[in-house]
Amino acid sequence: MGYSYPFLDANSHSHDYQENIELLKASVDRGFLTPHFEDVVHLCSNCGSGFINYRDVCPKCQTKKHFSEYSIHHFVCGYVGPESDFHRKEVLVCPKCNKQLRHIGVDYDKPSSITECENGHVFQEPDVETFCFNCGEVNKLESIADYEVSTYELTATGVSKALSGTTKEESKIEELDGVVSFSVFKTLLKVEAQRQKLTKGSVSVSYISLLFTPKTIKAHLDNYEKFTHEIAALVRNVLLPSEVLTLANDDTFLVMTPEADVASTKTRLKDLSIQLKSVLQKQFETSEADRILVDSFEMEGSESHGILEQINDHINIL
Amino acid sequence: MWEVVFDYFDSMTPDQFVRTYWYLIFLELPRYLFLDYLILLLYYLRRFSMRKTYKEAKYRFWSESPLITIMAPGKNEGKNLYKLVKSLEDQTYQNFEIIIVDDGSDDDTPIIGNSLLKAGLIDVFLRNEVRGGKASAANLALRYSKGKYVVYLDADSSLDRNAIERIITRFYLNPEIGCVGGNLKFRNAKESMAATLQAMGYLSSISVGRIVTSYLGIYRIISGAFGAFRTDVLKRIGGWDIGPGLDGDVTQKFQKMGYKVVFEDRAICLTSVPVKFKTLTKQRLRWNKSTVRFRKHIDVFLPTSSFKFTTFFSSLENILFNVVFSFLWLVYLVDILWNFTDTFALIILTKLVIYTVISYLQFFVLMAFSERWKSEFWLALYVPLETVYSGYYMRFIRVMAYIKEMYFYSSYKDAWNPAKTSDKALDHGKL
Repeated sequence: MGYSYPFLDANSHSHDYQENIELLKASVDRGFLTPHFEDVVHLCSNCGSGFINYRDVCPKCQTKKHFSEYSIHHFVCGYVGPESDFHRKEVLVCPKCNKQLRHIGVDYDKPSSITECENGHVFQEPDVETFCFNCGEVNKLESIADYEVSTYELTATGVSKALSGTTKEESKIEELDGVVSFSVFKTLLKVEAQRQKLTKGSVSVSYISLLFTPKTIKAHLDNYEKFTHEIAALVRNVLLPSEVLTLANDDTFLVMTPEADVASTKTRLKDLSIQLKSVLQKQFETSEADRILVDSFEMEGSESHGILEQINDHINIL
Repeated sequence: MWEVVFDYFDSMTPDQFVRTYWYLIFLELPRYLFLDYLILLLYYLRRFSMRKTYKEAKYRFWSESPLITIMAPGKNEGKNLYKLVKSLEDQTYQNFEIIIVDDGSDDDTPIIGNSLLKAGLIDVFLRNEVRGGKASAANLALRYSKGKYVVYLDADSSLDRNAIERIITRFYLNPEIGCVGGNLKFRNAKESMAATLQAMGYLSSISVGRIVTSYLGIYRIISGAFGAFRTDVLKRIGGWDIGPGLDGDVTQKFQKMGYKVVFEDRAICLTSVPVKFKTLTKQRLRWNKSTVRFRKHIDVFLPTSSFKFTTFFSSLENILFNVVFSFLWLVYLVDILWNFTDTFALIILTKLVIYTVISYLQFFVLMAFSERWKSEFWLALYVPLETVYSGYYMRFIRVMAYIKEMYFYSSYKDAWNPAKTSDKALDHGKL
C-alpha cells in the first residue's frame, strides 16, 4: 500500500496487507495503540494493494486505445474539425475553403480537445478505470477505497500489556473451574511430557484461536475479559475431564490432552469448534465472519527442545 | 360618422379605388390570396393522389432503416436538453444518434450534457470551451456525424412522435431531394400577445408560404429549428457558413449543387417563440438582414455553367417578394400620405378591414387542413390583430433590416456571432 510498518512487519510474519491493517485496527480498538493521521492512500477494494494503474478509457466501449486532438475552428468559413483535418505538409490549411491558417486567435482558434477511440466513439471526458497490478481487478474509479494511513504510538495500556504479557487475564482465569494459568499449564505439560516419555505414550497440545472481526471485538470491548472468560467456560464444558485448558493470550486457548493420539484429538476439536461457533453466534451474536482456528500437535518429551519453543513452532503466539 | 365612410366610397370611381389601393390590388391580393391558395389546393390534391407512392417511399425507408444523426448545437441550452431527448426517445423511428454541441455555455449545460451522456440518453456530447457561433457548433457536430441523414434541431424544440419518420421519408420519395424543412408550431403561443401573434403569423403566412414555394420548387430557407439534410452533400459543401442567414445559405448551396429543397408540413416540431416584442424585433431584424446578406450568392443570377432556372426563380422570388415589395410598401405609404393626406386614416382603416376579412378567409381554409385544428382554433380571436402585426409591424422591421444591412453590413457586427468570426467573415466574404 506504499507505507510500511517495519516493526509490525518484523514481528507479524504476515505479508498480507489486510491482516496487518486489521491487526492495527484491533489494537487501536482495544486501546493499545493511538493512531496519528499521516496520509490518505487509495487502495484496491479487492485486495487492499496500493499498486494501481489509473487509465482513461472510452465511456462507450471501455477501450484503452484512443487519441486526443485539439479541434480547430476556422473563423473565415466556420469549419470546425480536429487538427489533423488541417495538416498539409508543414502548414495548416482549411479543408473547406482551402485557406491557410496563419495566426491563432486571429483567423482560427482551438476551442476544445476531442478524443476518438479505436472503435470510432467520440468523447471529451473519458471514464477513469483502475487496474490493480496485485490482484488484476479492473474497476471503476469510484470503487477505489480511501484508507487513512496513521503512525501508531503505544498507549499506557499498550505499554503495560506489552511488559506484563497476559498476566492480567491469568490472575482471574484461575477462578474458573478446570482452567489453569499459563505458568501452571507449562508445568503440567512438562510433567506430562516426561511421564509419557517413560510410558511411551503421547501427549497432544491443541490450540483454539478465536479470530474475531473488529465488529465483534467492538461489541464486547467494554467487558472483553468477561467475554473471554465466558468463552473459556464454554470451552471447558465441552472438553474431556482429563484435559487441561489455559488462556495463552487474549484470544488463544491451549488444551493439553494426555494419552491421546493427534489425529483423534484433531477430529474431536474440529467438531468442537463448529459447536462452539454456533453457540457463540447464539449467545453473543457474533458474526458469521468470525473464525475459530483449531489444530493439534504432538508434544515431544525431549529436554533440548523446550515446551515454549515447541508451541511457538506451531503457533506464533508467544 | 358612418356617413363619411359611405360618402367616401360612394364618391370613388373604380379608377380612384385602384389608384388608392394599388398596393393591395396589384401586389398583395394576387400573391398572398389567389396564388397561395390556388397552389395550396393543388398541393393537397397532389398529396392525395400520391398517397400510394408515399406509402411505398415509407416502406423503402423502413426497409433500409439508415442511421440518422440528430444534432442540436446551442449555447446555454442545458435546461431544454432533457425535454428534447425525451421527445426523441419516443420517436416511431429509432435508429439515430444524438449529438449535442455546447457552444461555450456559461451555465450548467456541460454538467447536464455530460450526465445525459452518462445516462446513455445522448450519444455524443461535445463542448467548445470558447464560443464559436452556431455555424461552428453545427459544423463540429457534422464532422463527427455518422448518419446517412442529418436532422438539425434547435435545442429548445421537441418533436411530434412521427416527425423524424415523416421528414426522412421525403428523401425516399425523390432521390433528387437534398434537404427537407420541417414544420414549426409554438408551444408557448398563449404566453404573451407577442407569442400569439407570431404563432398566428407563422400559421397563416410562413407555413403556407413554404408549402407554396416548395410546391413550385423554389423553397429557399430551411428553418434552423428543424430540418433534415443528406449528410454526404452537407459534408461536401463544408457544412454551415457563419450566420446570420446560415440556414438560408446552406439551403442555397444545396440548390446550387442541383438538389431539390422541399418542405414537409406534416413533420412537426414544437418550439418556443420570443415572448417579448423587444426580443422578437431583434430576432426578426437578424433574420431579415440575412436576405440581403444573400448578395454573396449573387452568381445565381449570372449565366454561369451552374445556372439553374429553379435557383434563379427561387432567389428572384425571395428578393422580389421580400426586398422589392417591402420598399414598394414604403413607397406606397409615402404615396398615400402625400397624395391623400385628408383621407389617410380612412384608407388605412379600410385596408385593415379588408385584410381582416381576407385573413379570416385564410384562417378557415387553414383550419380545414390543419391536423390539429382543435388546439389552434382559439387563434381565430387574434386574426384582426394579426393584420396589424404582419401588415405593419413586420413590414417595418423588414425595411429597417434591409436598410441597415445594405448600407452598413450590420449583420457582420451582430452579437449573435462572436466578434472574431464576424470580423473575418466580413473581411473575406462581403459578397
